[in-house]
Amino acid sequence: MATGDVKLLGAGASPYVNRVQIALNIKSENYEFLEEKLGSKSELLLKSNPIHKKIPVLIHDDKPICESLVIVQYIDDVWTSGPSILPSDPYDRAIARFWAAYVDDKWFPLMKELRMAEGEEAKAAAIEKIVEVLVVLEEAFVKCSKGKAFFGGDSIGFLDIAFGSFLGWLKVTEKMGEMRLLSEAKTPNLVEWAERFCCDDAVKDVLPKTEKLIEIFKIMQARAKAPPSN
Amino acid sequence: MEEVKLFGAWPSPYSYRVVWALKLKGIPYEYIEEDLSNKSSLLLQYNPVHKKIPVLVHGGKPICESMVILEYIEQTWPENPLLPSNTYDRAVARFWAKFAEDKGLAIWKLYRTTGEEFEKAMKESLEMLRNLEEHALREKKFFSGERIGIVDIAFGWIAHWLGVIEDLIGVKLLEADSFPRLHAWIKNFKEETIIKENLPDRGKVFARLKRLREMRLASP
Repeated sequence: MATGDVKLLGAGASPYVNRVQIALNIKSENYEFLEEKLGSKSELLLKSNPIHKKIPVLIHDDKPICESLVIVQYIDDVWTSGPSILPSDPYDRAIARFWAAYVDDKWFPLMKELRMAEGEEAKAAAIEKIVEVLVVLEEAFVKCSKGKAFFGGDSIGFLDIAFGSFLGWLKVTEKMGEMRLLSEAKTPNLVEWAERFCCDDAVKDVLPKTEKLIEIFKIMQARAKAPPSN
Repeated sequence: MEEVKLFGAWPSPYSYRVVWALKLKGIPYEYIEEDLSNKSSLLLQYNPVHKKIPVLVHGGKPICESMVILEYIEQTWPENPLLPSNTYDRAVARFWAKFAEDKGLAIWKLYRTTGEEFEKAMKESLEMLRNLEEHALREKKFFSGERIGIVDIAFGWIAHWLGVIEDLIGVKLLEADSFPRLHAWIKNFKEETIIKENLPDRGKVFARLKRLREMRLASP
């Protein structure tokens, strides 16, 4: 069992960082949060993640671990006395990993596509694709949850964390686009799951409020449009 | 032991990842060759989301995505482990396995793109190889130490398929002088009996990729 120094390099607005925060909360593990400033990368970050230079990085007893879901798995492996994050059954574990990869590789790029889409037609096409994928995830939820509250069963698990971490930004997209991506009509189970997830003790202080994310989004947009500086 | 089946395709390195893992652990299985231009209804039933190989079916239950399959195999049959026992080293191995997934894609663009897209793929591919050379291998025989592990399997395509792509495009990415560690790793990897005995015919892979390249570059 591990104790020891735990630091998390990250930014509160990053869903990838939120994944790690939620996992640490599930294990009731204390950690020092080292906030990276928007638009710059600290020495420690560049040293700890020389390959990708990205957050989150977990530093446990001075050893860095990178890639959000690798970190979540590491947390589950190390802090074994807390509730489990990954299912114990190998098949259920494989299913959770499969869908987590689907969220990252299939769903998230579509959200990026929507953000970059110009014109109503392109936006509508992107939204349609996203909703299609959410319907697939709705079916996955029904299968994985087996009638329980979360993808992981009675409590939050790996897939809940992988997908749920994006709910803050999903709400921002819905609000700014004045539309719904998750809806009672097409994804009723996910709508209810989303509410339960966001209220969970391990999650509620982690996902930033929609208004705060909108503020950050506007800053990032302004920076992207500003003339390049040294 | 429940029945193990693998749906694969001979040209695909993703398929071979699973073959290598099963054979390294001595797990008996039935192999079903899929014609990717005419996928079987069974494959589509087992992998409705991506409709791709490889698919492992264990006791009638399908597992898809090669790296997910590898983790499943590792957990279900712990003998001859593919992951390190130390938790931190496991996280490092998983980091590189993910790196293989995310950054490996550039190489597959090399033989079917031209112009700007090709240049971009070249840049990304070289960067990926450079990262492996400098950060991943260090002075070890294999990525995790003295024995083949999950990271070696994840990068197995470098040992065989990359050379074919280099021949096709007429550009050498992996020069021995610039990448001594990777060159040594390729030699060690291909000398392992299980790997040596389970690689597709190089000429056939070349012919197939050449045809795909011609089709892709010919279309408007």
